[in-house]
Amino acid sequence: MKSFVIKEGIVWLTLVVLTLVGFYNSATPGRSVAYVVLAIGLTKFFLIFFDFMEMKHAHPIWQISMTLFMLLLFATISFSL
Amino acid sequence: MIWVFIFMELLAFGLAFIVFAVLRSKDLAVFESSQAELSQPLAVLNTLILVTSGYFVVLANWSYDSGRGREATRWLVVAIGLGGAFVIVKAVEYRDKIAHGLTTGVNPFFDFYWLLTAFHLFHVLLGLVVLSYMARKIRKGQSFAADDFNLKTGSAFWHMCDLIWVVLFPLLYLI
Repeated sequence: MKSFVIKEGIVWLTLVVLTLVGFYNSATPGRSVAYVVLAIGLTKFFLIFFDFMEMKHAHPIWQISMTLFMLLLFATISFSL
Repeated sequence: MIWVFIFMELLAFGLAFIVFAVLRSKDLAVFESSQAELSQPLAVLNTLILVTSGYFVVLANWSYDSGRGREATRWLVVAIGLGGAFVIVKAVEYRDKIAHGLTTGVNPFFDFYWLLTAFHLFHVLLGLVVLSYMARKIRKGQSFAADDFNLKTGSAFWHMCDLIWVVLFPLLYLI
C-alpha cells in the first residue's frame, strides 16, 4: 500500500527535479542546451504519459501512435532550432 | 473513447507547436527578444503546480480503487486547489503582459503565446469542472454509471493538461 505512494512520489520528485534542471540549464545560451531542455521535456512527457496517465493500460495502438507522434513532434521541433 | 479525444487534442496542439517552431526558426531574433519578456519563474511555478496536482489525482485514483472514497475526495480537493492556483498564477502573468501591451497583434510570438496558453488554460478550467464533478459524485457515494465517463477518464483529461503544458513550457519559455 505504501509502496504505491512511494513509487508515485519518486515519479513526482523526478518531474520536479527535471523541471528545475531544465529551467536552470535554459539560462545557458546555445543550441545544444536547447536540445537538452527539449529532451528533458520529452522525458517528463513520457513519465506523465505512461505512469500518471496509466497509458500502459491503454490499447497498444494508442500507446504506439501517441509515442510515435510525440517523437515526431519533438524531432521536428529539434530540427527547426 | 477518451484516448481518441486525447489523441485529437495532442494532435491539434502538436500541429500548433510545429508551426510555432518553424516560424521561430525563420524569425529567431523577434522570437528570442519576445521570449525574454515572459516570466520564466512564474512558468516554472505553474509547471510544479500542475505536476503536483497530477500526483494528487493519481493518489485519488488509488484511494478510490482501494474503496476509500472519502480519502479519494480529499486528494481530488487538493488537486482542484492546485489547479485553481495554476489559474491564479496564469492570471497574474496575463495581467502583466496586458499592462505592458504584449497582446495579440504585437508579433507572431505573442500571437502564439496567447493562442497556446489561453487554449491550454481553457482545458485546465474544463479539467477543474470535471474533477469537481468527480469529487462531488464520490463524496455523495454515487457510482459512475457510464463507463466512458468515470474517475479514470476524468483523470486522464487532467493529465492531458499536464502533457500539453510540459511541451508548451520549454517551447514558449525556455528554448
